[in-house]
Amino acid sequence: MTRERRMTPGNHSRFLAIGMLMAVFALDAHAQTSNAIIVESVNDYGPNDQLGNSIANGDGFMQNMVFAGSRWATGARYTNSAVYDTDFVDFARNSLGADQTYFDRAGRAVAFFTGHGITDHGCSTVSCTTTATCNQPGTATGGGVARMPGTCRFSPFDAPRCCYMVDRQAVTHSTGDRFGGLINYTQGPIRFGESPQSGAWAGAGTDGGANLVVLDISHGILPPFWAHTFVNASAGVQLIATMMTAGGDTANVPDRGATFAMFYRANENNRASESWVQTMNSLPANEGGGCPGGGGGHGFNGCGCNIVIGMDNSAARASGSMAESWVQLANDSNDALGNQFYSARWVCNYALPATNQNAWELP
Amino acid sequence: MKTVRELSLSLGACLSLLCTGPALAQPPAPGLIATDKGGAVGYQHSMERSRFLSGPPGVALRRLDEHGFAKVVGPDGVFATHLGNGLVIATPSNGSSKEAVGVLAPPPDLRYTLGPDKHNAQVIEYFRAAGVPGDQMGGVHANTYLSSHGTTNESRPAQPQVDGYASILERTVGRFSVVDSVAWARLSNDGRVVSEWVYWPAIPAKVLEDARRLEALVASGDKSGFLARLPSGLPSGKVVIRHSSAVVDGGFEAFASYDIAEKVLVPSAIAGTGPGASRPTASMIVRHFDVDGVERRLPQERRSVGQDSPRQ
Repeated sequence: MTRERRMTPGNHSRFLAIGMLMAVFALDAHAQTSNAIIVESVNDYGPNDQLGNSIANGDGFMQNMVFAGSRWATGARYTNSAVYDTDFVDFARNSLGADQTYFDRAGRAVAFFTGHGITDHGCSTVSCTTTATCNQPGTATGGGVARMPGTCRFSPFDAPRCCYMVDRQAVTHSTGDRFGGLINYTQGPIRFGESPQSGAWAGAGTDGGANLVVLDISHGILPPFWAHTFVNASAGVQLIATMMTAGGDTANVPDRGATFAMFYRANENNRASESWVQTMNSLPANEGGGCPGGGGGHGFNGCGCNIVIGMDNSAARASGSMAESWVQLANDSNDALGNQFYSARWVCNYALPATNQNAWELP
Repeated sequence: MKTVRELSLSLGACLSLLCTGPALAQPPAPGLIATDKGGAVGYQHSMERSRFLSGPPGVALRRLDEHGFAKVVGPDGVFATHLGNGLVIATPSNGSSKEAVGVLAPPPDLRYTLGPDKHNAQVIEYFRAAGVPGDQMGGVHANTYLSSHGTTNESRPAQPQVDGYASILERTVGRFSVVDSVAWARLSNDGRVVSEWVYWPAIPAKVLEDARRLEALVASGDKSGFLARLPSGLPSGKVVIRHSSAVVDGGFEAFASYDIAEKVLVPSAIAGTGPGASRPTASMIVRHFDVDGVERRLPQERRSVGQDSPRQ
């Protein structure tokens, strides 16, 4: 519903306080809609390990999502040592987990994490001309446990070489951590979005609720493993948004979250997936290193992409996740009923020819 | 003589006023934004100067104030102008419920198949015609939209397809990049604007003066001067103009900055500290130093909504 409203940015912050009080109205586990926002942000990774801008980034998202007149409410906000790795771990998969109380709690519309990712890349030094020859994961270096599938990966930074699937992880830093500060969302006990509406098909019960998960981290996905990376974690969640590097790394800018949410403020009938990928366009181009051949910046130091993925039990529903508006994001009937099909969209900070079908790997 | 679209807009605004009663806030005046003597003018985008269509020609559009924006709402999209800082965001209202969608590809009219160079040229021409000062267009580059779909049990994913581009203007004033000014547009094959974002504020003269002073200080290589006041161990930087982001509320701030991109390594807690442990670069942040060598933080870097929620 669109309402006539006279709210200027000048009194936005005043209304924010009122908006935050709306948290008490977050919906319960059996609600048909979810409207709560949780933001977990980590700047402090220990002495001499500061990742500036994460808290500003997360708070910017909250500020532009939750205000008087918004359809969203504050669910929770945690920073630095108040962010535990257990917040993300599914209790049904590991009893040390408590995601049903924190990141993936019922009633969450958006669960937003901003902090470190990991740099494991699964690449070897073996050059290649076709993916078919990339079948020796033991040759990979660079951390993590490499495994099949392989890919003959290239980027504006890198000549084609054999790379392999490795787990992706987000990183926390707290005395409350029980998993070494590592949130392994590829093969670990992470399940997002299992709900009464999605059903318990993922083996994680129905005590989750996040409809959109945002992982604003370095190397959230490495190409072309957009489906492999999140298939286990997709347990009912409607959309997962993150960063995909193609050479270089993430620039930890302070306003990726606020920019994403600004698209909601401007038009709540725009697609949430489109808002995320277009967030890249709106971040400064001349901040951070360039991408060889042109481009770069926009929240990356080098070459990278904002990517969003939806999974479901049919091709039509997976595709439908890409079409969800911000309004429909709250609708729990859009929760995924399976994870057999995926649809993904992304925007990269460099130009590819219109006919390019081999953007990251040689066939 | 007004175009059909302008007449529709006027009619829509009149109907909106008649129906709702209260006066609507006026968005900033379109066109060039004045500045002080020696400063750089800005540019205010507007519906009349845009090729974005909120709805088909002839369809009455609705005007309302919502969430801090003055909005022109049509059946196809929203043209929104921030009432505080003039930011324009125009996006299609193409969202729907999951059940309502049965297609595997975006609607054909949103695709762009003519390549990034052509798209860049069209967007430069579009913004120049709209009124963006040509001498502030320091460059343009394209971001690429892609998509892929398939089943999750395939060992190899389906090849992605290119869906289109956004061309982004890079703003310069004199020799200086104005980092936080952003104007981009995504076009369809027929030249229509699918979506766009424009924030191009005026830059005060003092900021430009400071930028020139700062450039001279850095160029002199005076080890006992400006560079000596910076923290040790930082890489070299570049002189740019920074200002408030379009997505932060509050007063406008702008200053000349010596921007330094500082690498952030993987935290030692997960990298290990023993012999042979490596700490690769994991991220990057940009630090800003003004003409006096004082580290500055932009409004968007100072955000905080307050206290953490209690843990349960």
